Amino acid sequence: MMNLEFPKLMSVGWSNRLIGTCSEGIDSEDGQLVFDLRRVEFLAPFGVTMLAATVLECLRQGKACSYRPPESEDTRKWMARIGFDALFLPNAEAALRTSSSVELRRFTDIDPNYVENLIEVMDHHLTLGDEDRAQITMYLVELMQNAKDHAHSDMGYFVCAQAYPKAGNLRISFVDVGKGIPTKLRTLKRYKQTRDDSHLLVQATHAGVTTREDRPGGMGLTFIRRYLRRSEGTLTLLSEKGKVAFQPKKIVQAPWKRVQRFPGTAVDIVMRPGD
Amino acid sequence: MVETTMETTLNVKDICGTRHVTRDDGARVNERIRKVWDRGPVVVDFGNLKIASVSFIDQAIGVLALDHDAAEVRDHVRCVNIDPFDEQLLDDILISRSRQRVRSKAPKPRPSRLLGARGRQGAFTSKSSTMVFAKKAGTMVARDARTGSFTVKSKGGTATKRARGRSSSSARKTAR
Repeated sequence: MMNLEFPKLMSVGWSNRLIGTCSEGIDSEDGQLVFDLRRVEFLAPFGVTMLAATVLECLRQGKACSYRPPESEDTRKWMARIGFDALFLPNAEAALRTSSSVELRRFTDIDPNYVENLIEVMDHHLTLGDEDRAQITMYLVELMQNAKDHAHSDMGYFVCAQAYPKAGNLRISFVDVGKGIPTKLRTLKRYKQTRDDSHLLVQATHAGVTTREDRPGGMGLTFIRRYLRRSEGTLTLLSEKGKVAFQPKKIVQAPWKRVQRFPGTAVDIVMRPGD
Repeated sequence: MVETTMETTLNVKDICGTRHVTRDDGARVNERIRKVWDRGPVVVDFGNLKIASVSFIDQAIGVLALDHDAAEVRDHVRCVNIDPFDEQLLDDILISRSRQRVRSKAPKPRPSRLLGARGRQGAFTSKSSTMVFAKKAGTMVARDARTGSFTVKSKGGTATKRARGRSSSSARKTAR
């Protein structure tokens, strides 16, 4: 039995530690895994989607998964409310699909209804204007389209969103464990020799950079980045050994040698409605 | 011989129904536009739908700017009953695609020579009113701080997007 101990803060800022633990579980040859969340006090959407994707990948590999809930009562209740417990039920996939929560969901296709529901829920916590609604729709639709077209993941992708009324922001996270962005970009001749995954993630946000062969593309991430910058938001991309945070005034690229490898892609968005 | 042109109206709701999100959905609109392109101006009626999808708008109209000047696309394809956010998105997409088109057509001179030529031409004369924010081999993108307009320049041509009011794109060939 392998015990995977998760850190106190499960947010994008602690991604290295979090991804390290998740990768340990995915790569492990042990058939029985325990997701130990006792120390966890704060879970951002990034942490939830990353954890959910890891659990499902381990289940898919035929490993028996169980978890030790957080000692913090608030965190424990929150996890139950968003449907995280459903992952560990015997019929996990079915349970997750029928979950009424719009906060943590798994998809294999683009679902415009989910986008509308999510906006309604977020509007309940933060007052959203027409522009905010349109922007959220755009981010979600583009990320869903990317995950569907490029990730080629059997288990689809996870989405989680959470409004933070006190901070006045909204976090949306996407995770898939399919093909990563750097692997896909290296199929293009001009990026074949590029070693730095973070550099490739930056390139992926440039207009017209795409691996689509049948039609033009390469606009989704470009526009997410552009519109988030206009509204003082942040876009963080993690894929394989790359991690880049597109902040309103600067781009923070993590040195690829120090980044824990994540076999897939994670996108974390922080937006400030009304700005 | 008198040449007559006919305006064709395409209704997004009729073409796509309730699916107006993905590239595949946008491709259906694009196919219809291309089919009637030679007949004359095309009016695309969005029926006040809220699209908010880069993929859809790019595939439906944006990619036309890879084959034609952005201004020509704007003149030829008129969008009506379009949501203001989608209109802004369409303008941004046309600028990006037009920039991509200009860049792909331009030869690749040495950047130093390119910038030198620009200086002599006086294209960006006043530093106080112009901020260059992107330079690539063969193209130069600048934002005029006074008017807020964006200009993409290269040997192939120039594309400008106005920042306020009903934004439109115009393109002209630079004599060289």
